Amino acid sequence: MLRIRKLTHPNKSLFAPPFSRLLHGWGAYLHAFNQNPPNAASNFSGRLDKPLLSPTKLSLESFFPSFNIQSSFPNNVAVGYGHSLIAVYNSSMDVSYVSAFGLNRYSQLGSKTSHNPALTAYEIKGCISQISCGREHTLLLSTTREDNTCLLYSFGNNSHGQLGLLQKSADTLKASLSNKNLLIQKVSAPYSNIEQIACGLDHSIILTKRGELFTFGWNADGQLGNNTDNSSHQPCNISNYFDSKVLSVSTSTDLNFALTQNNQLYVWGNGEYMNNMLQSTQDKIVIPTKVDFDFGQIMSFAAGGAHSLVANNHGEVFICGYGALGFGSSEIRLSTPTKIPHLKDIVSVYASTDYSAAKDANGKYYIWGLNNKSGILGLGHTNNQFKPAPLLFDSTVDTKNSKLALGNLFSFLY
Amino acid sequence: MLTTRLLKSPQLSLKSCAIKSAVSKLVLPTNTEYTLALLKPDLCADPHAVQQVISDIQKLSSTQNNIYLRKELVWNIEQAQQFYYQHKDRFFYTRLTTYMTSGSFEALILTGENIISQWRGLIGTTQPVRAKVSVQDSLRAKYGITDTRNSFHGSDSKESALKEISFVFGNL
Repeated sequence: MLRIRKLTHPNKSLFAPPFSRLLHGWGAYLHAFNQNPPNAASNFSGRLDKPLLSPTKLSLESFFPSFNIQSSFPNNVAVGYGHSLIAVYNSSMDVSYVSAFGLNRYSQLGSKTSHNPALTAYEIKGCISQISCGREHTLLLSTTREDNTCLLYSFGNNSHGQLGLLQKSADTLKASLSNKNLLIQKVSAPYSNIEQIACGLDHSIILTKRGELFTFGWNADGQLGNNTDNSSHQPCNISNYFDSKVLSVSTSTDLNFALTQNNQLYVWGNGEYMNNMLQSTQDKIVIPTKVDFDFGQIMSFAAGGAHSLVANNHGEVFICGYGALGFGSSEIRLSTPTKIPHLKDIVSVYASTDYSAAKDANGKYYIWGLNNKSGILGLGHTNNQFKPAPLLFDSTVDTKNSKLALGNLFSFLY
Repeated sequence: MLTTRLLKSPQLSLKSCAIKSAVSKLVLPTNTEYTLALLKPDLCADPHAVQQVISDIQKLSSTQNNIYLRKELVWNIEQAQQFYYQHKDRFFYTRLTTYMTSGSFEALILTGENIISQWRGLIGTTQPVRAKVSVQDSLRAKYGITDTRNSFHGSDSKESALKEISFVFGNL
């Protein structure tokens, strides 16, 4: 039952085996992993060839062609624009097997490949507690059991410093961020230090257990929230902009939200589509700014590209911005956070650049937004979905303890 | 010679340069219209997407020979600023120019009758999210990610096409 949820008892939850084995996917490029019929996983044909338009059970083994993962489970999955990482943990050896699949121009998979897209797999010492993928970069956090060393890896495109590394090398591989680079003093203390890692398309955010927030990467839209629009490879400490300790952050594209202990939501980054819950027409917000809206107790929040959403303790969902927001095709522009009718008992919300998803207390998922030719909404078609629609899985699948990993070209449920 | 000078002095606008000598090295076709198409870094991250766009371009003409020249390039910030000099006072100038240094991309010289408007028609509205909402059958609706990462550029006039081609291909 214990998947990685809130790491309140990290030693227990992080290393305990998960309850059930589950990996579903939909969108472009994934048909090679379709469990039925099995496919040759080396043949990833064109983006628009045979997209999986609905959630489809995938063969976990086919993601790990050279590893024996018989008794393992995907304990962490992340998807970015067009690449993904799946980590399984072997507790007897305290090692993680990582399968990286998708676009790989700048080695965002963590390994150079001769093809693009590609599939590659490798080992990383320790248990991988978090992964986050951007457009062409990846952050990965691993913790070893014996000495409790916590290592943050970053790989992929570093053109704007989104890897947090000084070198502007286009394909830095598995370069671990040292304490010095990160400005975090005790990074080796067992995940008492990093609470959350999050990638936007071309920038990165690191939240420490103490509530410090560091940002690095592309900053042309104020993504770093450091009161400039200059990109930075050096992590910028923006903790002073918040009224109390930051508990969690959300980003997917160029817009960012953070929630503090005082139930105060903050926003910064791209704001062109009134997507910031501020009713502001500023095209960029360069410092974290309070969202003055009474949501009630905020339980979950998600930043999309041109939209954003919040779920409160009553299971209600509020959304604002531009696009297919959940109100039909005639209401595509909302400057004020507005409650989406018919969504009830929602416990978590998700967003990718162009669409949104929500999960209710029974584990039922809803999805809505702008679709694409890969059928990224998983609704069996390629049309836009202007009102929330149920995302359907095989009836034998218990989705209550599952999570979504949403991308722009393909997505997973695990 | 001319293009080298151009790259080194970003404050010099494309407009102020005598382009004839640079273009003469290229020998552009005289019997038909031409334009500069850029396949931006976000599109070139996915070779399958590039392949599909190339085939869409070829469908614009019955002969399929409308790609006159094609080259892969990487820009530094000065080159990006030089290319987009005309937008230097617009709010999107910084993000557009820095974005164009985020990876390799492709430049194509397209030729054919009315190719400037044909190509701009094919790529569609500048903002992919708007193109998607209105279910445009354009390349940006299909491939664009955000207003900045909008996958394509097309010259807006014959004059721009000549200047931009000279800038990108001039030192061939």
